[in-house]
Amino acid sequence: MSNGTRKPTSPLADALRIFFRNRPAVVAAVMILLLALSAVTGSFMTGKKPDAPDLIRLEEAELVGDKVKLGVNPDAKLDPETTNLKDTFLPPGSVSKDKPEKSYYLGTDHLGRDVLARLWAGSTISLSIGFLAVGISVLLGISLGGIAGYFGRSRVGLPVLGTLLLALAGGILFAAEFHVLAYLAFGATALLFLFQAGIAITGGRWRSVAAWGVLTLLFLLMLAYNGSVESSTPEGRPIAHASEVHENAYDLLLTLRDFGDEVKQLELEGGAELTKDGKPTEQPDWRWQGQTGIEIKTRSVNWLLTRFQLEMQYRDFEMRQRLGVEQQERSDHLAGFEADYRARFDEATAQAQELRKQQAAASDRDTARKLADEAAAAEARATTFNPDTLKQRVEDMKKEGAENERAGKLLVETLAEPVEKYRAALDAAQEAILELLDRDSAGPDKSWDTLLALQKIEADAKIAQAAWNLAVKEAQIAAAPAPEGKEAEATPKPTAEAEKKALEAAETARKELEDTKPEDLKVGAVKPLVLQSSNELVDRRGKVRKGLVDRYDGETKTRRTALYGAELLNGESRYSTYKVTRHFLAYLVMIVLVLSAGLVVLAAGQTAAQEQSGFNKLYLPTISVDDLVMRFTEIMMTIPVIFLILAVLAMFEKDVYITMGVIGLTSWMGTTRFVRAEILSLREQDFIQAARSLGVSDFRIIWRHLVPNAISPVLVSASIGVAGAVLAESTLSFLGIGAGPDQNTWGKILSEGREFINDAAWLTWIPGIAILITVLAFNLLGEGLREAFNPKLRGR
Amino acid sequence: MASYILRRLLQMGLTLFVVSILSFLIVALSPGDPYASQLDPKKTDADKERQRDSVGYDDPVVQKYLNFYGDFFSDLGAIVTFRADEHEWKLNSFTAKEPVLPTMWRKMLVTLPLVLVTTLVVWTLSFPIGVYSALRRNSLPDRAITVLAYTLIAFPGFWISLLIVSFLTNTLKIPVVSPETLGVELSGPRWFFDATWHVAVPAIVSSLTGAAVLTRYVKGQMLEVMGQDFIRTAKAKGLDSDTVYYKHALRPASLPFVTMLAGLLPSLFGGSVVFEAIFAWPGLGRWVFEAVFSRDIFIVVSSLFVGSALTLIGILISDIMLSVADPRVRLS
Repeated sequence: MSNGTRKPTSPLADALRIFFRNRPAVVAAVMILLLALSAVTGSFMTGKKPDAPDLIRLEEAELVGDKVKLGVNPDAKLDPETTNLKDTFLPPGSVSKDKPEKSYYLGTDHLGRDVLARLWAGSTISLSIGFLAVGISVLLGISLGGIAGYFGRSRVGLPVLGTLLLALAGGILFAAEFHVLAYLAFGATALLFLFQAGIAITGGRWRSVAAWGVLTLLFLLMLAYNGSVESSTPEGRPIAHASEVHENAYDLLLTLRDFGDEVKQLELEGGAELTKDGKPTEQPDWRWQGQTGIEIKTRSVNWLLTRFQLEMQYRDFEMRQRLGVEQQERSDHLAGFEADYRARFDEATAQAQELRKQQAAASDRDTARKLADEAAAAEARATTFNPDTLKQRVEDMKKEGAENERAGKLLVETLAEPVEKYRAALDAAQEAILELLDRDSAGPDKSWDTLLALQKIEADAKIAQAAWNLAVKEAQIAAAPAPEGKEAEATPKPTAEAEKKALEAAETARKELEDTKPEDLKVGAVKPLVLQSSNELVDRRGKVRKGLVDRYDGETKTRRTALYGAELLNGESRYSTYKVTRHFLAYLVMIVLVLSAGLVVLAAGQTAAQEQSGFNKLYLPTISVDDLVMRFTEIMMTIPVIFLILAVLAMFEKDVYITMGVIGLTSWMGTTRFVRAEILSLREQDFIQAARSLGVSDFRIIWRHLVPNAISPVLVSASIGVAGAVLAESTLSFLGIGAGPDQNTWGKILSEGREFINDAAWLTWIPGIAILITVLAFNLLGEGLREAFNPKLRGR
Repeated sequence: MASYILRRLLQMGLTLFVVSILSFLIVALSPGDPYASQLDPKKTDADKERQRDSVGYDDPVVQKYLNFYGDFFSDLGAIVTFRADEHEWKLNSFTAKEPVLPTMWRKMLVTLPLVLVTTLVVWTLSFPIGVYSALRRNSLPDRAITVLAYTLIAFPGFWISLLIVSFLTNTLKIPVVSPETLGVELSGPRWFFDATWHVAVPAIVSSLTGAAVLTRYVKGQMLEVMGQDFIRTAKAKGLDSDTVYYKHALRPASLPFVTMLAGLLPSLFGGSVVFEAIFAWPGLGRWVFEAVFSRDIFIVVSSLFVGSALTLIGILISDIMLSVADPRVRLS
């Protein structure tokens, strides 16, 4: 240094020097620091709640028929304290009309919310989602690009590839409800796993062994997760139970359908002997072989369905009580708005009167028309905010809520005991019927006994059913509100007479069965059909049988839909979600993990050593890692991204983090391609070759030499990517698919403001300029970085 | 050449096959169905079940996949062989009950003028400006252009469109929304001017961001070429600057943009969702957008497939064009 030579500088210091000479980039960097600061402080600093909720959420729960419909976000609570409707549409720099000490530096929006507070709070989400999307895409891009570039020449054998593909195929088959095939695929995957691990162990490649261990662990985790999805839903257990019931019923139905053909054959053979000289003949025993089994199975399905209906019915009562409670809570919140409504109503009425006066006094026609329009608008506002209407609505809702709660509670309490009894009776009947099935297969001699036993079991179950119906009817009569005035005279009092009679009839029928002997069933079992000729008879019975099967099949399918629709009732999911889909989604998450882990494994240990030792002697086809990654990248680049994003987003609740995550997952391809190109050119350079010939490990070469040299273009594209993500968020919010109902982003503020673009311009200009500045800053920073890292570009 | 194209076509087929599986799985296995959100209270669950059955919605996914692409290619075959008149369309949308492919074609014709004019405006604006900006580096106009380009890139596209539309319709009283003035029967030259105006305004507005991006790109490309040795040589041997710039520099500088033409075909899909929404164009983008949210999976999957195919075709065409335009490129 003292001898006058120039001080050697590191490339990083050089880059920094160039960067600091670029004035716009420095300003941008400072700007970004400020933005980051505002994002971290978020809403703490403003002291006002940024996002007092919308009025729309009041309309959320309603009773349609006897079904409960809940809205998107039933838990959202209204907080009238933070919303002052008097302060709607104050321009920037205004002072609150209620509290003079409170000022709105950037004005207020259509719901009286402080724009500055929203903007400040919004910066947290708007910036973090930008980093989220870019983070995901850069991470994927670097790892895939790095693997393709550095390990690209390694070839992957069929067994390795096959393992991964089989795991994927298993998931798809599972989702498509081909359970047997799916389990076969899973089994084959597991075997291949073991095989691979064995080869790695015998070969003494311990890094491979560890990698395969991790992969196996992930795979097991995936299976466990898949299994737990079903029972982890909030209402998981009842649904799981109902699902079990359904599965049983469905299995029986399939058997039943197979039996249908057999029956037809049987009847064709035996049909001629059904009648003799127009009189019913005594039926030989052989006719009931097999047919008894079908009878039993049909009944069994029938009672399973009844059991399922019971669960659905009882659930509706519980839902009614819950709805009542919620309705009352909502009405209380709604009542809190009365003062605001009245103020706005008074203001609008006064304004309308004033405008009408002015209109009458106006001299020229255009002014008069304009005033008339404004007056009409004010009148419309007055109607909207009429406090009497609000009061009426609150009262109605409260009354309805109280009624629903009372009735629901009463029904649930009164029926708690009967429902247990009925459940027990149905379960017992089901068990008894299935026992009969074993008895039937014991031999033809018993079939008349079996049939009689079946009738007895059914008669018992029918008594329980009639008793339950009676209990329900009585409870409903007790729970129904007493009709008032004229209505009371007009409508007849509901009674449970019909149900009582049904119960008596069921009991009588049961008693009659006590005296019946199995032999009695032999004659006249086909009584109603006697009048037809035997051929017609056969034909018709075949049709009846088929119709029966079809009907039960259809009913079960409907039930299945209802079952998954039950989640809709709980307001848990916005769309009706099939089990299949939930499995698949769970699977998708894990498969992405497994596949990426798999690629790392391929890259890490499975490479050169394998070519010599393992599979290549078998001349199995291989594919290079580079091809594998790059073909996948190309495929992803081929699909139109915007619709892919839309299609994926339609699966989820509206949530801006998911949205941006999906954007990240669909935008990594560019990064992958240039990282690969960068690594490919780097790995041929002398210093890497030198490092390798010195025996430096792959890990050290990657982290010490490749990453620092390849990172600068990634930084540049990440910086520009954040800008793109902020813009993308605003565009998606404009299309109504960005931020969720409780999320507050700049794009959402901007697109909410567009309705008032002519009247309250600040609602669009302020968030618009915030986005503009942010995007500009990140772009300038990116350009500055590009220039700093790439001295050739200097001065452009 | 022929064998190259043939090989590329085979590759394309393979890629399309994988794309068809991926896109179908993602769309078909996502939850919800077109009938779940029907508001008609008279429709019972059983009715909806029947509707779902009638289109095979609850079929196993593999069967659904085969049925869908069977119908798709049968319809596509009819279109390609000009037998559309006597063909009975197999693929119909759930909600509107329209045949999917002819509707897609119709919607594409609506979007086409918008996309074509937008692209035309983008390219005719950005090339001269970018080249000018590169040649007069660091001059006042160049700085102004740079600042303007950066600002335009940073504007949320839909916001600037809304501001312009608001200005045109409210202040100047000029109708610009929708493909033609609604409620007025025009003919002859008046119809022509009306239609031109209604295309021109959205096209210009939606080309602003694209033009800004492309201008920066053209400038960068031009500067890179001008920094190379052969330009210095050309200058050194005394060629006049016009010859150097427009004959020697511009051609290599514009070569990368040939590859950009690949994006033109697929931009028919999806490139214009936002602007179709703002200007109320009943085009392809909005059609698919709405189909996604009404879970009309036939439309969505068909569009994903056709869009992917167009992307691949676009890439192939631009590769061939590049090899024609740039003698250094060899097809292999």
